[in-house]
Amino acid sequence: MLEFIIGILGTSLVFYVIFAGADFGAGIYEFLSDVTKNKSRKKLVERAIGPIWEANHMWLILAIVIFFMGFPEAFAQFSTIFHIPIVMILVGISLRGTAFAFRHYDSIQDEWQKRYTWLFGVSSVWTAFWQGVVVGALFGDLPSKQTDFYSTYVHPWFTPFSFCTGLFVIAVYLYLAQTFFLSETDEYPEMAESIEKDVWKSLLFVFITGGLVFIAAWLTQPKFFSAFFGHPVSVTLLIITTLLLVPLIKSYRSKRFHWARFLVAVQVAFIFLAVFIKRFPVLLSFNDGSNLSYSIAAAPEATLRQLTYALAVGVTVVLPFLIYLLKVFKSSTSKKKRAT
Amino acid sequence: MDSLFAARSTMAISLGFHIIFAITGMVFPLLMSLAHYKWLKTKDDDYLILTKWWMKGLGIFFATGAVSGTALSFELGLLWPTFMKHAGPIFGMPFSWEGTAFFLEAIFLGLYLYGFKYLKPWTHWLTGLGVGICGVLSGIFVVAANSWMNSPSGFKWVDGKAIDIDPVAAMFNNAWLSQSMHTVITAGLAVSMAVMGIHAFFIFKKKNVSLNIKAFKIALPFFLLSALLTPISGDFSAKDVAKRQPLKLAAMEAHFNTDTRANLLIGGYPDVENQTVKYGIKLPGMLSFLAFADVDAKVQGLNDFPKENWPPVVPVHFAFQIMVAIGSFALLVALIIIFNIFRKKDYLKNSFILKLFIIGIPLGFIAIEAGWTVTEVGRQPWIMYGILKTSEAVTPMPGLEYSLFTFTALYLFLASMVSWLMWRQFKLFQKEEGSNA
Repeated sequence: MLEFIIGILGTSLVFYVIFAGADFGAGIYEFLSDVTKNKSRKKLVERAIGPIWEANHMWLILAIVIFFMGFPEAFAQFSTIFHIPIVMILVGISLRGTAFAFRHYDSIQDEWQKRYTWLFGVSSVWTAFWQGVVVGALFGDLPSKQTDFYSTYVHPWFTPFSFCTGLFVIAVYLYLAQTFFLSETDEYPEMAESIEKDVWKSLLFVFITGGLVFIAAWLTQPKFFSAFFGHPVSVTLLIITTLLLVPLIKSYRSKRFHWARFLVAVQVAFIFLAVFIKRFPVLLSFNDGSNLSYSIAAAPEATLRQLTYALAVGVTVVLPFLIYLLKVFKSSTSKKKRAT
Repeated sequence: MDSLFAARSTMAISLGFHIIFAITGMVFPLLMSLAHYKWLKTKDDDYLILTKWWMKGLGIFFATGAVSGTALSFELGLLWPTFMKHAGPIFGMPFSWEGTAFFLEAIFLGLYLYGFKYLKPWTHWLTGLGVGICGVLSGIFVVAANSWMNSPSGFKWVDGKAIDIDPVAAMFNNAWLSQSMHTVITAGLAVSMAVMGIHAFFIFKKKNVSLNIKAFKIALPFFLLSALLTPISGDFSAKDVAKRQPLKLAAMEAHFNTDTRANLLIGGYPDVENQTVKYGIKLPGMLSFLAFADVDAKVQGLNDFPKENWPPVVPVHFAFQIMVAIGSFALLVALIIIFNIFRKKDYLKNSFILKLFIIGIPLGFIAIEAGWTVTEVGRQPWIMYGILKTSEAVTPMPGLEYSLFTFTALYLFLASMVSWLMWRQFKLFQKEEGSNA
């Protein structure tokens, strides 16, 4: 039961990164490349992510509900310590979600489009950064006791390492988005070319920021390496992830973008899995050497049972409709309809 | 600023903002589906025009509701971690079902808003209806979670800890039915009243009258039904509150001393210090009757309870009065319309009736906000009624006023953006010719 719940929690986080990450990346991409000059790219962005936008963001809601219902103690600690970055994330989520909708549904298409686009872009960069900051901070130890303001509510995330993971997440989202858009460009061949050029740049951006993360970790966060390289399964997963770069690069060259997208998704999932396996059963670790494991933080049996039922029914009901949604808007026939 | 005040204000602003979009996201798709249905059935293009306009409104309202709802689910932890630590496993169940309903709603919304070209006509229509049905379901689940705070059940509280947790009993607590029913019905009232008011305005201004009459009449059955049901569900809720939270009822009515044949107070300004009410109208025995269906029933007053457990009497009393006044206004308007329908009169040519609806545009939403004030402020000082105080649940983080400023600025900005977009939409809609032009 607990395993099932942890599994769904992990899956929803991975799906959030893969699906919502791509639409975060869309905003980052627009911000960096001044799409206001490129109307067809804006159209591509809206067509590619518009229909699935709201569904993408449900993964986060699902994760948060599982978190507070299934692991209430950990949720309370997490949201107390990370108050500041979470507020930053929420502001960003609110602004980008509404800016995207405003741009699409504003009845009058005038110069306000530029402002919505700017807001969508800047808040996408902002939110991705703060999400990365929180993720980075979770590799470190959290304060076990509430002492002064700085050491309890600022220090855990105000580190060079966390800021580097923030930049890294921006890069990853950007890269996910471009890969996703490439698989959507069937009817815009001229755009495929320019996005393809950008993919190499953002891949480089991923490597540079990834490098920064490692350097920052080496200098300030030694625990990070043990979080990655301590478990044989984790190491194997990471090796596979690295090796997957070969078919990935090949698939870009041979323009099999759907295949590229799948490979990138697998890489993201493997990195998550590697970290999870190494850390298991620790959910949160503290600076006095203690930690909170999944089973200790878990809600009582009766709650877990109800959560399992709800998730089982939820998955059974939601998945077919989700697949239907993707099929309607992403299948090749629908693309033909779109083109006509 | 003290932490508790900052946290409560942040929560109040966030909830007050979200609820407008949440109820619109619940009811508006149903109105849109009806317009869409009429188009499919009659092929009258006016209905298609309406459907498409309403889709734009829905897109904006849904997105705003979704992000403010996401923020709220995090804010529960940001502001009230101690509460969530205890309550998460107990009242999480309705949230988990709400998650499922909301996920489906989001999928249907994507299919509906972007599906005109891709789906078969009736399949497309069904997805729109799905948005509405899932919206209502998620509303019911979320209110069930809130009702648990008013009527905590499904656990035993021993030494400051919940044991023997039963999430099913918690979800179906004593307050869930009355609260969910009242919320869904009044959501229907608020949204249909606003929609009718807006189209009444265009009819009044003689802008594309036939199109606007069609829009008005789509919302009409929702309005009539909910206006007639609101007093019934309100009465059901009041009797429920009288039983479960006598202190809340006493605050709603500024009822200081326990009394048989208790007075129903209409209006009035409660002077809490001197325990009197200035300027109100008192109807003898009516409070006893409304609370317990017996004019001689005993109604507990505020003085029966320790003063530190009193909710703030003045805001709760005022909010309750505002809510009841608006409910009565809606009922009156509904009765006037029904009378006119029976007399076969063309009430849409009557500018007085049109003006009543124009006045009504914000009223339903004001009543919804007032109702939430009664529920939430009336529960104070408790976050879990009778078990955990709000002051014990607030986050230890200092400087919460900055979170309050941040969220206030955010929601002020979003509120003005949405108003601006709506204004632009109305401006353009005025020029809409309709199919008969």
